[in-house]
Amino acid sequence: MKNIATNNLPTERRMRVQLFSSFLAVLSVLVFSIGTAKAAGGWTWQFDLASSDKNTPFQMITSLYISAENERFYVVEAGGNSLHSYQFDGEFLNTFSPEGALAQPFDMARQGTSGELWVIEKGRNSLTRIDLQAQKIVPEELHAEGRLVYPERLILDEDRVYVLDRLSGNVITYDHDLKVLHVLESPAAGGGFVDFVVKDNEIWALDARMARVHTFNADGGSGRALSLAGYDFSFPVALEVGPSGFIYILDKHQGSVAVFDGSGEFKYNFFEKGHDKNSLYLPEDIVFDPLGRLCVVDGGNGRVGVFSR
Amino acid sequence: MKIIKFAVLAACLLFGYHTEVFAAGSCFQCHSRQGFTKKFVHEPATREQCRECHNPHVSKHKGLLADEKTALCYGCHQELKETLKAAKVTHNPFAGGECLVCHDPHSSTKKGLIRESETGSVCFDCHEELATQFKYRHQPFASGNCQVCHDPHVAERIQLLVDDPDRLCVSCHRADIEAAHKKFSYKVKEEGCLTCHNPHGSDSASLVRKVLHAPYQDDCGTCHNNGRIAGVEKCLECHDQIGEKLSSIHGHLTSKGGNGCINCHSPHASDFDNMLRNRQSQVCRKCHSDTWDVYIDKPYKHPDAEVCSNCHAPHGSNYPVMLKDDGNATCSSCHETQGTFTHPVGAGVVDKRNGQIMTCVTCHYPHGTIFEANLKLSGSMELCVECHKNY
Repeated sequence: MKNIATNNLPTERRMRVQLFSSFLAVLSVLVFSIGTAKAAGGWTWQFDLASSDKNTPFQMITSLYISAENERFYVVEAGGNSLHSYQFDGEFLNTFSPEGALAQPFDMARQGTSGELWVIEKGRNSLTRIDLQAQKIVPEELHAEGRLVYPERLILDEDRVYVLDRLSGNVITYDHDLKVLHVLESPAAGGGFVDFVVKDNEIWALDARMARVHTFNADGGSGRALSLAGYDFSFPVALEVGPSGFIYILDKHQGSVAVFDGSGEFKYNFFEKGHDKNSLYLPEDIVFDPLGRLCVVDGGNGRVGVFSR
Repeated sequence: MKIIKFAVLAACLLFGYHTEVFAAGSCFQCHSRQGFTKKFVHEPATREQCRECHNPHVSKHKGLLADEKTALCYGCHQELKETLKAAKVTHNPFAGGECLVCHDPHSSTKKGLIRESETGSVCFDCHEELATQFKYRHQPFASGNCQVCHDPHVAERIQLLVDDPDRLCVSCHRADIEAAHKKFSYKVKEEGCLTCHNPHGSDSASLVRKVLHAPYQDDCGTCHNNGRIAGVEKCLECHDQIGEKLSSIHGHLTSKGGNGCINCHSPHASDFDNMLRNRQSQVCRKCHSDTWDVYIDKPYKHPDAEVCSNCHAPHGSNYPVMLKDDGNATCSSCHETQGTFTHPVGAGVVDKRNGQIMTCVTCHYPHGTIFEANLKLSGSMELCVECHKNY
């Protein structure tokens, strides 16, 4: 149709129209290519949660806690012994860094009703409760099966505390008085978990060495064992279960995320190792926020990248 | 036309006949048959088909080989090529197509055309450190039958072991285990053999390793209690300086259950520094094979890259990737002048891509890369324009 229309125009004007059309075509190709370059596996960078002080970049951020109740992101900066809060639109709110009060915080959660912060402190090997209003900090060693626990990851819900023990590779569930309820072990000989999530009362735990995800019910009963097939991992460190039930595995050394369906079959992977906005460098954790955005704790780049689809 | 066709056919027949005659006998008119008379002869050589590997007229390959040597071997031994593709761990000469490092292509007194060696085993020609004259030697090792435990081409396990080490030991020694350990007050399980024994040799009887862990000498009950192995806390009672390291941001506890210390250290006996279970590089590689694979075949490697503890704190660290110090201090502990005359690094020098402070590892991948000075990208331009885009 366009050719027929231009054929009726005077030569000079037709040339101008053709030139303009070519320009538009080139422009649209450029815009499209830029757009696709920004997207990684369909995920587009939205904003970063980064240090509020450009002169003092984050040092070793290790986790992100998302509070749906008060719509806050909390970034845990282990190297800076501090916690940082942000609004859901990425605007910086506050830094909690009392002099000498925190020793290498690694992961955290917020108690819904009391607003208490529960923090895993590597430096004290403790689960530390912080009552901000009373300005009270209470570190506590954890034990299970007669042994000292080395807490690594933490999830808190209304009546349970879930802790990943770095030493044993077990997920331990406690009540809020820190009485052990269940010890969830990897069924594989020589296996151990490196990360876990709780979705709809089901616990999903990643056994990195065996490249498997195991599920457990709320009573500690063993559920499914999914072998993550079709992808060659280097150093998987974290998992997340997406809104549609897909499993997202973060590979620290590859700087990528591999996605598997509910049966453990590999679907696709995205991100690559690097430093620009769509790359990851020694990432530590991934989390979906309540708006369906994928948040990546990108330790080596000192930021939490927030991506949407 | 018919005359031309006839002439061509006749020429082909004559030339073919001539080359057949040449292959069958004329090589040995000049070349001695001596290298082809040993017990095991390469199959083409038994048929005197030298042409299958050599071009009798010209070649761009040494020895008038008919093709590049890897392609030549794989031309017949295709199954090995397929094995290599799927291999997890490969023997360096095999991966590099250097078949003749181990094999004699003509004939050998050893099965598999294994090359003969003055050291007693072709393996010791490269693995010189293993040729140590132990007072007591493991029989397969002493006789140079390394392939009893190691696959010379590919394996699923590091050090090319053909099976799990315990299963390997038990496959020959099951009947001996109970009698050999009767002095112990508890039943020794069929596992952890290498925590006491050196599979190659030792100056101690029963191939027990050189250095014994003090509690192992004194009282097994120090660490074993009613069949239960003591936890990390027991180790830390003596090695208390390690506890602080384990409580670092990246404590090196291994999420494997049981006692994390004994993943790397032998609780019984060792031939290596710090009671490690193996050479340090192999201990680390057991879990971090992806790191090993990234650098091991690179042309530019860090000297002593296999001594991981030169740069990394093996028990725990508050720095990225368990470095001993930050990305500058770790490097400058050896490279003293670094940062004083090169690209600025350190506080106040920011990587534009991510706002992080620039360190040596911003531009270098210390283990090894394909670029000079272990740069991450080509130093001629590619690396620089990552940040300096206007240049």
